Amino acid sequence: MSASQLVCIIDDDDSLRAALVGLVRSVGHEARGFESAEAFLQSGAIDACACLVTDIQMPGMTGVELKEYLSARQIDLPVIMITGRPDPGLEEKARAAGAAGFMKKPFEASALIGYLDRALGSVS
Amino acid sequence: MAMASDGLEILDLVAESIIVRDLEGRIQAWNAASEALYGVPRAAALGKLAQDILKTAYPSPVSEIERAVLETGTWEGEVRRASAEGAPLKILARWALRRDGEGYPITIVETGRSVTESKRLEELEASERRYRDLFHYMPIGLTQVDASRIVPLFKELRAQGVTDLKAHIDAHPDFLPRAIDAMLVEEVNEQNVQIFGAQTAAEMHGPVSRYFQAAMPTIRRSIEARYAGVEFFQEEMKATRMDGSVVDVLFATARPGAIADKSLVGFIDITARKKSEEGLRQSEYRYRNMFQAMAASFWELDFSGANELVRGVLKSGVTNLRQYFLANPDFVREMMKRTRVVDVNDQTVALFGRGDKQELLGNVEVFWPEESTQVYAEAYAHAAEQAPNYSTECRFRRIDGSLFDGLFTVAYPPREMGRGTTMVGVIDVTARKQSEEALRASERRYQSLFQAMAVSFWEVDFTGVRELLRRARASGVIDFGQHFTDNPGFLRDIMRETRVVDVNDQTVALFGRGIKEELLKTTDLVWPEESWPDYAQAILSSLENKPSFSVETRLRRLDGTIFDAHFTVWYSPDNRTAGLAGVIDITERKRAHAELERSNERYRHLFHHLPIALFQMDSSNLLAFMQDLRAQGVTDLDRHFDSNPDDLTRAMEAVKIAEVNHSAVRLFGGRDADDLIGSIAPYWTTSKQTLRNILNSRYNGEESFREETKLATLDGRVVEGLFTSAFPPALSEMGISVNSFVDATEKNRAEEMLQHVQADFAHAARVSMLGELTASIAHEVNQPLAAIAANGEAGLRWLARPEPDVVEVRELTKRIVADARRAADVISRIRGMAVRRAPEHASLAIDEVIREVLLFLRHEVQSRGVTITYHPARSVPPVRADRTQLQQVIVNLAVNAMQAMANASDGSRNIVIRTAASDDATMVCSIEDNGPGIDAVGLARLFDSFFTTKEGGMGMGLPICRSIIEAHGGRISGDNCSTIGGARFMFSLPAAT
Repeated sequence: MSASQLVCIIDDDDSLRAALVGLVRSVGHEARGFESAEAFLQSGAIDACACLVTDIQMPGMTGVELKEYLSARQIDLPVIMITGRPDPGLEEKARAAGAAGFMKKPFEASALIGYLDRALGSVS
Repeated sequence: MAMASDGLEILDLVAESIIVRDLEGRIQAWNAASEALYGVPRAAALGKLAQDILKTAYPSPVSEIERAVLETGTWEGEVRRASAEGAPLKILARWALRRDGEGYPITIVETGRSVTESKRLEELEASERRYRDLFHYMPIGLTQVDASRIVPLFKELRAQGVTDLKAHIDAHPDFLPRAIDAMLVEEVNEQNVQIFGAQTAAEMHGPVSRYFQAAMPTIRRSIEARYAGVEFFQEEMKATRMDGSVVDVLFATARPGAIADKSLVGFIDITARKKSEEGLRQSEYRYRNMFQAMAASFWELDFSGANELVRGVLKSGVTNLRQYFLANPDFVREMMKRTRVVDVNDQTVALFGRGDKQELLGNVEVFWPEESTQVYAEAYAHAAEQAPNYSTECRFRRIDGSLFDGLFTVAYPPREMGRGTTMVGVIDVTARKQSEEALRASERRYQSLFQAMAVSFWEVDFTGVRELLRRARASGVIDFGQHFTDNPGFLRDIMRETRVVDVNDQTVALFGRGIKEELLKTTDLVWPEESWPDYAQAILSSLENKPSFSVETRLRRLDGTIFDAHFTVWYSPDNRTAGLAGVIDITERKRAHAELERSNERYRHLFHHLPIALFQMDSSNLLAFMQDLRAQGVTDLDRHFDSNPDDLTRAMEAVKIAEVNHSAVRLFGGRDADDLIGSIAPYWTTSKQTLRNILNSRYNGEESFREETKLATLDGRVVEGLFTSAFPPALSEMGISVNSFVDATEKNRAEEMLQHVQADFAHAARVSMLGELTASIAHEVNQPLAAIAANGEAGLRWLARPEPDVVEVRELTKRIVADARRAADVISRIRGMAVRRAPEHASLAIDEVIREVLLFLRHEVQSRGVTITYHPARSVPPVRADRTQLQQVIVNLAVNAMQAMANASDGSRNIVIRTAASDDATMVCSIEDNGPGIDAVGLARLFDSFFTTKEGGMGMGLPICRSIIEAHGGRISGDNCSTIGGARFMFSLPAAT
């Protein structure tokens, strides 16, 4: 396992966000939570961020839109996407946008950790 | 009024049926009222078994009833019988056991009154007629004497200390004319007018003295008796008539207790009886036999011992025996002890003794209770004064100690005092006294009627008629009834031979044209042919030696008009060729009666055929019961019942169903009305509280009562409906209340089913709505589940470290708990919507319901990018509603709005929810959107079932919303009047009270 890196988590649901932050920290990474894509972009955390975990359906910018926004600016940040409303075709959309992982709530914590390991490993 | 020897006559004057029977049930007496009630003539009833004649159905086994009578002496109850014509009768019967002198039961006296509804009116009428005839044609002359002026005279004497009026009059002879002049005749009846040969009643008014010219000792003794406080005085005397002739009469006077200054005086013409008595006296043997046969106790007494005592006091200087007796009752008792009983007859043994004559042959003291001491003294004083006889009523004691009222008569053979024995008679008048009480009361009642009534009187001469009848009889006619029918010509002759001797002014006014002479002809003048059969009956009654005859018939005035009349003819007992007829115009009464009957019939018809169950209750016993409770100081009946449950039963038993209609019989499962009549208990087994409420409302003086309730039927069903009871004061006084029951069993069942169906549909619609919200619901649930999984995994990892971080784990575990609770909340909200259960109406704050809905739709709203703005009113009344169904309506309207806006391409999607109180009693809620609005077709069919604009929609959402709102008593509508540009839905609900 690589050394401690910053993982940013975006979810409008406070309790889930806190849970994800806690999970990431439990495996030895640093974690910061944001309640929306906009909040994340404005925070300046993006430079230090090694991996992004985001909900797809959120008020304002969605998870998929955020990935597209980053790609458009050549920011190649691995983005793991989670959804509570698995509408048909959503996974394809997410993959097409370049998601490093796609999970439906509720999800296995080991699946997220697996995605994280792969994403962070690929960076390093 | 000495009619003791002819008890039946008195029974006939009583309006109630009186039947006397022995213990085997054989009828011994059957009065006129029984004849009328059962349609069985006396002759046909006497000696027969009561059960054969009456065919009685008893409320309980007759053997039990008879046992009760033998044990307690009385029984009372309602029995069912049939008249001779077969008409059903309901009789309220009172039984009283009569015992002989030794206490053995001998007869049962039944007093019966018809309580058959239809009979009541008739009986009332008949009894009114009987009373009227009674007063007018009773063979007793009645005189009301104003004695008010004698009262001060008596007061004066008492102030002077005079106790013995006789002695006072002896000393002051001028007192007597003053006393007599103080008494004035105020009012007399027709019979009295007859006895005294007066023309009119008014002619007789004035001083009483003129009628007593030949009987000064009698009036003197009556005044003395009055002074001595004797209630009842009677004596035979010679009365002076208007023309100066004298007539033998029995003079009797009584002071009605309440009015001391009025005396009622009766005169009975005893000329005929006197004559017969004279004959009887001719033979001592026959005389004895008569007494033996009479229902009179007869004593032969030896006064010599008493005389000896009296002689002693006379020697010691006593001059006034009466005074001495009054002052020395012990002396009188001693006299009694010295009065020896020589012999008694069988009646005496029966009346006084126990079957052994020897027991009675001692002295008389034992038979005279203390209270009668002075009667004995008075009788003795009479004898000492050599009065021919003395008669009075007083109380006697039997050998077994029991007391009874007797008419005591002592006759002194002239100059026999002290030399031989004296005869004393006693007649048991207990029963007669009771009848007399009733009679007196009825007379008092009658006074006013007497004044008000105008009777036409006819004096008629039957001489020619009797001659015609005699000749017919001689030619072989036996059955005159048949003869009259077969020969109308003969009847016409009879009428033409009935001569009118005189008529009164009233007759001239009623029949004539102002000239009396026009009427002094023959009776065919006023008898139209249609009424001849009635006249024939009158003649037949005279042939049967009946004293009088009455009939309702139709008579003709001189101007030819015919009217309804009540006709009575009274035959002079000593001269069968003379008669007095009375005619009363009853046109008005008949018309009133007919009207009453028609009206009665109308109401009866209505009562019986109304399609709702009607009951007439007899609650007279209940009223008495409630009066008792009031007397005990009970103010809160309901509380009283709590502590005295037996009284509730008693109150229930005090109400009886008296009459029911067809609907009631059908509804309550009876075969006929009789099945329902009687106790109300069987119907109230399921709804005791309603019964209590009725009783309370009645106790509180309310005039009516209504309540939805359940009643049990005779065939074991339970019917639901509206029970009403009316007890307006006018009916209440008669002990009647009218009750109705509108059966709502079917209606209630249908409503219940409708509610079920509506609830089922509402549920189906909710489930379908949840289907539409599946995605949102899944998200709502998955969110906390995902959080729990993440927290759990993190916790495990902290624990798996070489040095487990307990602080982190504790924090994570708290979050897990919070997320689990959140998940549970979401699920319970969904379950609330998904579960099917019966609606429960409770008082709800609409604000709370709307906030719950917003929570429920939170994710749906968010995922659809809709903004809901909620403007709660500052104050709205709470509403009475089922929480889930009300939520369903609001969710439905909000989801509809969101779906309508989903098609709109872009721009903001807004929903505004408002609440308001349109007035104190109504809450209004509106849901507006800024979508495309409703098109014209949609507006018209908005709430129609299966109408939908949504692909895959069932078209049930809005119809269900409407049925929910309407089931809650509210209204729902939809239009395009949204303040933000789209559609608007509004619903209103009545405020909870």
